[in-house]
Amino acid sequence: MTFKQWIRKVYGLFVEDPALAAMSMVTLAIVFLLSHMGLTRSAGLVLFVLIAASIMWSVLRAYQIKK
Amino acid sequence: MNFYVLVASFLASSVEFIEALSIVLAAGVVYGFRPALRGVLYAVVTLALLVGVLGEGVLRVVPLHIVQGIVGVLLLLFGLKWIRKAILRYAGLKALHDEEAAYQKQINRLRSSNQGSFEAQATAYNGVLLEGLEVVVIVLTMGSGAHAFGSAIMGAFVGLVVVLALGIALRAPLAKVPENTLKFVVGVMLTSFGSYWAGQSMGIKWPLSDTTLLLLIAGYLMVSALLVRMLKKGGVRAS
Repeated sequence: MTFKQWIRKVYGLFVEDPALAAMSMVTLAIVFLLSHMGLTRSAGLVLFVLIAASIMWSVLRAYQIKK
Repeated sequence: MNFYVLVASFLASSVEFIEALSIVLAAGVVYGFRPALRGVLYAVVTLALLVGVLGEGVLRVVPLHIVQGIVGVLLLLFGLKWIRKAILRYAGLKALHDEEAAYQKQINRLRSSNQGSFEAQATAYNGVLLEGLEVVVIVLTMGSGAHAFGSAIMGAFVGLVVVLALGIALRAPLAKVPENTLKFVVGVMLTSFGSYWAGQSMGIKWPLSDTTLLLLIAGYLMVSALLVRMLKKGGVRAS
């Protein structure tokens, strides 16, 4: 197995919808900024809301494509 | 023997063991216990080597928040993948003519392939390594703080035995739960654990400490159930 194939296999292990994975990473970046601005408690709520919204967006997008 | 240290160490480490157990059970029930237990074994060996070589220095050398961050991000991505698939299947968007048969075919393929085995092993390894590190920290801090290493170790050991017994008792009933339901719950759990650990390493101070995990699980379950209901009402089926 070449390095490229291995990378692809590991990527496939964790990512099915690249947009959803990207949104979760952006969410973590936002949470990091909020926490370092002193909003350490409300950042938790922001994390949950943004991740839940990302799941909804990803699933509804798949629904629209099927439709 | 320091009774207070023993009880405190038992309670604190039991919470960590239960978290590790839930991850191992989830991976084991879906993909088989052999690869999941292999992941546990590798994690225990890694932990034994770390503690054996570094001793108390493990607290200074291993940056727990960085390990939490890496494991958290991986579990979050993994959990999101599972949760999305499970919602689409429940809503009928990801199956062809015979949903059950198609899903069973997929499960059999995953079970027989190395990927499923690797997923179970990696998930169990990550979970046990992180929770194990937390138990090491509990034992070392409580043991050194009260100069009662024996009591702290005994407390953690009793916690391990109790949680192991719980795991063995739960294994059979869990195996009877339908695969898609199980994958749905596992996806929710991994997303919750991932959010909790990744968030903590990013600087979040969770208001109820480990209890927040239950709130996250309930929250993601509600959102997912709502989505399945919405999509089922929409009436779109996989073609």
